[in-house]
Amino acid sequence: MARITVALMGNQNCGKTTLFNALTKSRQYVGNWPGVTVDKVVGKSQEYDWKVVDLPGLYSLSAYSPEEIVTRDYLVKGEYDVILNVIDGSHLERSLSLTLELLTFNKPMVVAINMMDVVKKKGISISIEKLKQSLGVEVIDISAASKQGFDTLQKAVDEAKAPQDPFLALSECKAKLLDLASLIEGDYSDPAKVFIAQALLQEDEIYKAQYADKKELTSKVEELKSEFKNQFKVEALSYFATFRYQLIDDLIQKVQSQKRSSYITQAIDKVVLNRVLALPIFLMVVSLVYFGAMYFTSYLELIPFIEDGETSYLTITDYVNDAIFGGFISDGASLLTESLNAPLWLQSLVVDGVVGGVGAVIGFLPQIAFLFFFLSILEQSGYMTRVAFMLDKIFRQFGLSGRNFIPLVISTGCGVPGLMAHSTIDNINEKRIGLITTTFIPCSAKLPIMTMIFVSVFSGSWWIAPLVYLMSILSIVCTGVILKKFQAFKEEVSPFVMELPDYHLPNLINTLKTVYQRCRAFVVKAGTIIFGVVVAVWFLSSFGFENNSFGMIENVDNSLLAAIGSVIAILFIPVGFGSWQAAVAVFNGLLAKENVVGTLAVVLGLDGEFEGGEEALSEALVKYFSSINEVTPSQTLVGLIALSFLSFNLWSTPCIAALGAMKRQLGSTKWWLFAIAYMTLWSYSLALIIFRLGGFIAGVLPFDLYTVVAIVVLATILLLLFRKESKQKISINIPTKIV
Amino acid sequence: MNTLASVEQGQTVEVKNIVGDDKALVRRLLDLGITPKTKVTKVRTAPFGDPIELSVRGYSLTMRLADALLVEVI
Repeated sequence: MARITVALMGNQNCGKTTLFNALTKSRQYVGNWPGVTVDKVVGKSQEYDWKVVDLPGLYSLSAYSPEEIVTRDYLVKGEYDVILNVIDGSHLERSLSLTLELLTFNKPMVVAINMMDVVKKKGISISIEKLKQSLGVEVIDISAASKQGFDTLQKAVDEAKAPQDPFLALSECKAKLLDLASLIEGDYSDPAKVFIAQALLQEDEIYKAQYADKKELTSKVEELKSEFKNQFKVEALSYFATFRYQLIDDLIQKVQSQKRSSYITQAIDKVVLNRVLALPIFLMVVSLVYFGAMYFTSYLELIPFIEDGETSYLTITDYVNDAIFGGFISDGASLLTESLNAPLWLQSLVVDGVVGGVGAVIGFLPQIAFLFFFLSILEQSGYMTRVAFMLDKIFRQFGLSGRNFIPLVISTGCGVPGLMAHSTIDNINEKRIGLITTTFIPCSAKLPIMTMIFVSVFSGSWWIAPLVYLMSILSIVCTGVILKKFQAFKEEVSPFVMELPDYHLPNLINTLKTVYQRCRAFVVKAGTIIFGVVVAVWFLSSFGFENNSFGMIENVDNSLLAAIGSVIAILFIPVGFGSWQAAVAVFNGLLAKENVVGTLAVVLGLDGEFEGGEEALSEALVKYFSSINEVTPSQTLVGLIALSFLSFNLWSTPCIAALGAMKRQLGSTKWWLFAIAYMTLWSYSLALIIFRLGGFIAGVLPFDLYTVVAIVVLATILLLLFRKESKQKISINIPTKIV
Repeated sequence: MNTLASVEQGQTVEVKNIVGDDKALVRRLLDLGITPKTKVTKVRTAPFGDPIELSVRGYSLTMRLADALLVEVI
């Protein structure tokens, strides 16, 4: 048992987690709060003998977001010894509002002002001594990033005292609050009762519901509300925040020198947020990011590569694919298995299966890394927040906000970090719709499926790629419009209040850290899931019952894989690819989308790496797609099946790694299952409409029951899209002001 | 009644009150420092006409017009 429990509190982005990691080193684990949606992180600081609880970043203790509810429940329960309130020194005013709220819990407390170096650079000075006197608790300055001031921090926390005056921000109404608090029943400490009393006066829905049947209490609340209005000339609801900010204004006057406003930021914003120039600049920046990522990885030939005595220069992507995986590693693996006298099947598994399979995934890494590098620079500079501001109006039309743009762009690289990026969206409706729609954007792992179809079936027609992206955007827009009309997505109206930070020069180390973290998810996936899938598929497709005995088989149709696939395949008959090969490919795609191409190639009897080139694959696919529907191969029909197959793979649920990230972000199994069901249904509907209706219109399929079903599905989608939005749960109106 | 939504670009106004039936939303705006008597300057409108950028207490905030309608100003 640790000596003391320290509750880490602060605004978002104040450096709380950096401090947490610095304090606890790697000794941390993540657990879920019982019944709630938010991660709580508990760590041990071996050095100081503390148990440190990292609470979600927040601005106030209202009941607006799940984060806030979790944190205040924790505070009310009081199972901690010291509150360590971390403050971003460059946003003193806004941070102090939370500090004043925390004082009322009357627990030993330390205020740690972080990022003092940034403050000094901005030409601001903060008097720690005066702040300490005014707040009545210990105030220290630290730098969490460079681990400065930790000795003082340890001493301050170990010797922390409760505030001199917990009613600092409530002095005028102290008597009234104590009066009301005395009526509150339940197993709460006195300060907690004062907090609940405040919440009741501020129309807090949660506590109002909890005490709805306590007549004496509710009538006292009403009585006090009218007293507030008479005495302070302001409604109780706005009294607390107003008084707090008045106090803060006085405080700031005392402790902080005049803030120099950033002229550079204003000048840049005048250009990049200009009504006319904003959009062209944005399009240019985004194109540059993608072009940059492509240029550095696929065009710029800068790595010398010596083969047969000749030096050639390769691009990074080619180098990783050909030289590293195709060269060193597979040669090494061959040599190793040969030298160990491994049986032939094991050699083939290791060299073709594992090295080939994992290599195919790692091959995307350079491109993703560069994409994340440029995006991270944009995010750090502060430009991405401006983009959110710019695009908000458009995103709002389909239930999202401008903040959803960043996750979407990240998802073009990999869906896992894209889903993770939703943690900064505090509006629960936008977050949910965002999480359900984000992986509709084709990630880099889905590109090979697109390329396969594009090259083999449509002989490289240029319009396929734009069509696919258009359909992705359409999927997001339609899903957003459909879902936002349901009551379940109307939990509350969002105040899209977002801060536009000053522009910063990106810090290279931070940028590389972000790139590393985002790429890690991708590599871990390649190393674990894909590795496992490759081995499993190889086993299932190489073993089975042949000639009445179990063993390695000659004909892949007798494999275990075929047996399993043919059961699932029934489901895909309506959408045109009801064969075990396609079913297995889809299923493997669930584990990792890049498996789809490889699996199809293997089960169609091609080499894992289409040695026969594009023509062999094209021929096999056309033959295959026509054979499963027992029709004469016609380009139109094969094209439709290919599109249907593509739709289902691209817009059904993402891979397992992304599903895991999605579940964590949604924070509820119920919502997660809904997301899975919705995505599967959506992609299946698209596939059905494309294949059955498209086939009928093009004259290659007869009019039958499936055509009717497809028409009904299409009609349902249109109905859901264009139905009248049910009445808003919360209507906003402006009553005339009583002066 | 003037609200924050109808303020001209570059104009500085004083918050009079925040009103609305959704008390959680009102409290949210208050907690963010948009309290009565606060000076607010409208910096600009987004290219598509919504949201707006405000300068409050030394930092830049963006707010949707629908939310700005709740903030009465003088």
